[in-house]
Amino acid sequence: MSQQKHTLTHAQLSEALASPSVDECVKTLQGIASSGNAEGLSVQIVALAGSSDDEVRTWAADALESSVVVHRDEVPALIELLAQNSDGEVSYWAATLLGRLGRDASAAVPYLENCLSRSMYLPARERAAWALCRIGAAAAPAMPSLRNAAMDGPPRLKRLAIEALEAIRGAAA
Amino acid sequence: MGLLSRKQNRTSSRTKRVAASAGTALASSLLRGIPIVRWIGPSTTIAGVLAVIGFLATGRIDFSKLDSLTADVADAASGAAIQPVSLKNLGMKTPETVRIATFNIKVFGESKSQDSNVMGVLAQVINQFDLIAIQEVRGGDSRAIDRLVQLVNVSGGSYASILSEPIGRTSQKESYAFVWDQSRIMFVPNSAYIVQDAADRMHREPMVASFEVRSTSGSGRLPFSFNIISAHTDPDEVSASKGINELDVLDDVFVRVRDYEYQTNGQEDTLLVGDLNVDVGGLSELTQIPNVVSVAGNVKTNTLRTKTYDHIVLDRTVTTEFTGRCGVLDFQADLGLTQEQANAVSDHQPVWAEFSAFESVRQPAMAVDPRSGSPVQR
Repeated sequence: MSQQKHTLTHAQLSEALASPSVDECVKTLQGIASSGNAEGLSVQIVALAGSSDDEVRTWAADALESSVVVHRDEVPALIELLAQNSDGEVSYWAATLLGRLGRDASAAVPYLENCLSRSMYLPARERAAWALCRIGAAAAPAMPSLRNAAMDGPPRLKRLAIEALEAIRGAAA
Repeated sequence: MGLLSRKQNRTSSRTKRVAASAGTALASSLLRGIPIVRWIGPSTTIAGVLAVIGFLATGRIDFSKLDSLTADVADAASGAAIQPVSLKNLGMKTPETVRIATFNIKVFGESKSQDSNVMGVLAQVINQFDLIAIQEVRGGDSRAIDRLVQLVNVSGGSYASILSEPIGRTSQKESYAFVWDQSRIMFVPNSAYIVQDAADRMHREPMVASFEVRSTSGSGRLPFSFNIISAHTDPDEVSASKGINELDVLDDVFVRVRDYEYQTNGQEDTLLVGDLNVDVGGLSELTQIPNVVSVAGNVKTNTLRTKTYDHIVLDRTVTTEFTGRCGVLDFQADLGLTQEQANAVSDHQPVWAEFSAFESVRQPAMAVDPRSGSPVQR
């Protein structure tokens, strides 16, 4: 059992995640995924969700789902990842983490709207709608795109867009 | 809600895997149009009768009209303090009872299954139970589960497994597995299926299968048989306060699977197990179904012992075979592992419950004299 010990500092974890060694990166992600509470590493791990290595992608996604805690300071870097639209999974996780922040991610609204309208990866579009729902009233500028998705989107996206519109209207009322 | 459970294509092999591609398409085509009658519990209610009349007239049931009938029922979640029971206290398997567990083996795939230490721990854990529902088997690859079953059987076990197709919305898909001790439990042939979620309300649609305890010859009692639903929710979609909540879908899954199985197979015992990513308070509509409880309650189920994620949910008035014994198997403490070693196995610990190996004898309904309150003999 080669699980990495959780005595590493944030800087050491960050360095291990950036390691050119896939094994070291995977082991670090495994440790983070089991920690249940990893802060300050969101951006790096979201980027790894788009790794060309399948093992790295898997463990990055698992860490993001189960352990990564996002902080509002990380919003600009997450916006940057979303704006790059380099990989569907990266956009999906960037939107997810921004959504977890709710109102604190208001600055991401134009980028989430762009993801909602233009991403070629449906799960990322759906998560963008979900994130706009969680942001609430501050997501009002995205209402035209949400209306389009609510009218013409695939069923799940449609439902999420309707829920987002309701949340925005409800929060504004 | 527009979520229907549908039977998968029936096949003959007991351990046949719920195949990914061709099987799914075939299953979908065969399952379309199967009407499922929703009863409010196995006992027929007025609503159930009306639903059947409607079904007979139209061939369809509008489930949404029945949803409100369960909405105002008090939270039936067990408030009793249930203590974890250690592996050492589980004791030997007995002919009178069976132990069923649910275990999220985090990202259980090729790389983890090549770690002999991890596999050794998993084999010891599996060996404690008669049936284990496993979540987070990586992407439909059967090799990890095959290796695990092989390892358990090398030491004299007689386990078999079934694996679902890969499930999930993103590229990171996972499968469900059931692993059972064939010397004590039988998989009901062709009973496994994935709940069809046409409206895409769940990130990972649950898997259903039916099992029956192997009868002890000459006992004269019916062996316990049951349906089991295995689920793994998305932690970002279990928030009660933000519209989307998979727990509000799982109650429909539970009721519809139970009612469908009762209608088609006379099977009334249904367990819903898995990593639900919430404590009892977050079970939402699931525990608003009358008498439905999470048997282990709010016992911490992660390896760090800080959070409750995993549950075994059942209707206590129906599944009276539940003996009351349940808990979390603390494999870290029992096997003397460090936190890091335990985490290498999983960040979850198995939740288990014990059941009678025999069906309970149910008392027939008895008329009561409204004046005296005494039973009326007929």
